[in-house]
Amino acid sequence: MNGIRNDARLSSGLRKDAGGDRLRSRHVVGARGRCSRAAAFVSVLLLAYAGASHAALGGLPEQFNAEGAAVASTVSSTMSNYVVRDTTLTTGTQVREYIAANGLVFAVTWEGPALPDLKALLGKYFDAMAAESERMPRAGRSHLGVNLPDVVINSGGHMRAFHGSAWIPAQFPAGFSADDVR
Amino acid sequence: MNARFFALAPRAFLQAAAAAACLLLASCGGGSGGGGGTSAAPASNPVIVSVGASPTALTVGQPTTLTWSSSNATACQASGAWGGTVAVSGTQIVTPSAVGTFTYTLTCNGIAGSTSVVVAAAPAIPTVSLSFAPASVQAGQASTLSWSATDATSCTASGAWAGNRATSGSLAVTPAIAGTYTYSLSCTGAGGSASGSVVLGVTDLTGNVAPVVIDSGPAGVGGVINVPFVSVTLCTPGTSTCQTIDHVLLDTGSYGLRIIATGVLNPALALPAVTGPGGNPVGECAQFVSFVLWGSVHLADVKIAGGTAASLPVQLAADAAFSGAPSGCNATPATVAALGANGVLGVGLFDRDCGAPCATQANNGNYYECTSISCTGTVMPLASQVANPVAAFATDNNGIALTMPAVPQGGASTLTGTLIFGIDTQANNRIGPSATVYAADSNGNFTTTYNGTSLTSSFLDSGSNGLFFSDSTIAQCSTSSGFSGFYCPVAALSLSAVNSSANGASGTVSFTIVSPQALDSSIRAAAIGGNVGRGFRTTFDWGMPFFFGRTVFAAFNGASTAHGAGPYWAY
Repeated sequence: MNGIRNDARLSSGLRKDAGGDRLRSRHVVGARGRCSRAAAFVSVLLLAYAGASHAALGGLPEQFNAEGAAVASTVSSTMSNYVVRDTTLTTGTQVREYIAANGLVFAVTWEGPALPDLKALLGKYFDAMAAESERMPRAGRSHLGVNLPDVVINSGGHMRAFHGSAWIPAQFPAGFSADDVR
Repeated sequence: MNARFFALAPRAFLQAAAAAACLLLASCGGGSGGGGGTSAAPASNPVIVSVGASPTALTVGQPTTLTWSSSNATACQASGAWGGTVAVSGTQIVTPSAVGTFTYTLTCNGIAGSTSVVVAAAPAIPTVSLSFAPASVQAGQASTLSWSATDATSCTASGAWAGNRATSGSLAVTPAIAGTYTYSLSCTGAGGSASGSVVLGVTDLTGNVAPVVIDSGPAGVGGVINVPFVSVTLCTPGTSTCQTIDHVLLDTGSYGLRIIATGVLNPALALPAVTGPGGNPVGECAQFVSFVLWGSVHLADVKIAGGTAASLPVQLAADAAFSGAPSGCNATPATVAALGANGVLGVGLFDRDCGAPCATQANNGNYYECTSISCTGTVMPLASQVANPVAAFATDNNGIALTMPAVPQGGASTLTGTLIFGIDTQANNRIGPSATVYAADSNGNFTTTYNGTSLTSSFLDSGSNGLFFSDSTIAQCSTSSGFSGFYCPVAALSLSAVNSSANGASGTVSFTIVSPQALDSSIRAAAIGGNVGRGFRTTFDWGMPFFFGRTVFAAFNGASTAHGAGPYWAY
């Protein structure tokens, strides 16, 4: 039921974004020389973003339609085979997406006073988190950890100060490890 | 039943009819009255004696009526189960005193007759007993009514309770209003009926202390661990129409009161709805780490122990009469079973659940104004935001202290502590000289240093059911164990960390982690821990086990205390 409404929202949001300035992105290329291909890579990323039909972990970068608007978004790269996109939402929460050369998000983190729309941010993996939340027989209402072969999700913090991370180990670029998700 | 036995003198048998005629004529008797049983009647006037009892089958204590008559007798003597001289005819009520067969013999002029009655054991008269433990409580606190009836087959309640009841049982009652409550019970059985009653005295809530219990949770919830519960009373604003709700999760990691509406809240309270700037009812998407509650916002007088927060905005989750969750609010099913509690009482460092961001931003992710068609994000003035009840009390409103007893390594099946309102306002809430004040940042956090890593977003959270931190050297529980996310060390681990804060405070915390798999299934409080996430090393979440064996103070943001302004933690 929620999913259907979510899809409708995503398609209307796309039109908004095509219109222009609700989401500002810029890229920062760091450690020039070590990562000489980064600039071209970021361009590929932005092209992919403009044509995004969906957004989520395992998919193309998020568009934050549920949040209404993102205050600022920054793309940066220090390595050749992935970039990091930081977005500050209107709620004040910061979202970081790790995007591979194929344009797909393989890791996300969030931190701030409100949870981002985790259903949109985690995509198909949101259900794994919801299932874990319901399954915990002697836990719940505290910290949430999902540690499956195909996805790792951790959500923590407290009201007014949330944080969390999620990643797909199988989609890590060469040389990337879970310790690089920060 | 009425049986009558005739005993006739053999020689007179054939003359019975004549004797009857003589009796009618009243002319044929002879001899003097008052004689013994030995006096003989004239042969021409045969003596006939008849004795009967009604009824002849009795139970102990039940009377029977002896009726006797005679013909031509001049004196009659009772013997057997009765005695003495009796009239030649008459009736007498006798009550056999024991189980057995009793023979009542009458001898008139030497002629004897008798009757027997059989006395069975009486069915016992029912008894009823009722008691309250404790016999007197403060409003909003539970007392257990226990009752039992003997020799009864059915019981009916009246007075402060009603309906048919089993012949024995117990019932937890939690009166919300002070007064005297009489619980009566009438029980019926084969031996009759009996009734009894007991009085529960309920005094007004006083003081700044509310009991806290860690147990197995409300009915329908199984297997919770390290969850502290309190009772909260909600009243229609300005009235004495109230409801006390038990097993509300006590949470120092959130702010404001939330109650599961469906199945928990009494609709008769009819709490008035809070409206937004557009005049429409307000809904909230209340965010927690592992669940999201969607529901309407209403006003209630909120009472906890002796504290009252008048007309306080509270959230009613799973409000069936309200709009569904808007997209972007990924609400989880808000049932008592899913939440593990009847509600959440957030008494952490802040007085409002959202604060300034929601007062200025429409897309705040928390508050929505709802028409019959849809819900739209709305700004929410501070005064209308769901609020920490303690901060809204008239007194003792600058913070809280939570005291819990220590827990042995094997855990405890139940644990009782206290929630005290106010800091440095009463003799019972002073921060002692051995306690340290740790200033909290604008998010309510301080720094914990663990294994050489400085975790700058650390906090104390009674609503977290374990100590959550990152340590890749501790074995994690397998997914199949049902404890994924928790640590399952082979043996109990003794660890330590250092807490510090911007005010220069610093102190070492020694703690223990045991495996939840090693605990007995009855354990409801134990020092368990879990992984806060390998990819995000900023947090040490000091959950409920931190509070065991401590008094922890939480001073509200902006409130003043003798130890400075909040927000801070002290322990």
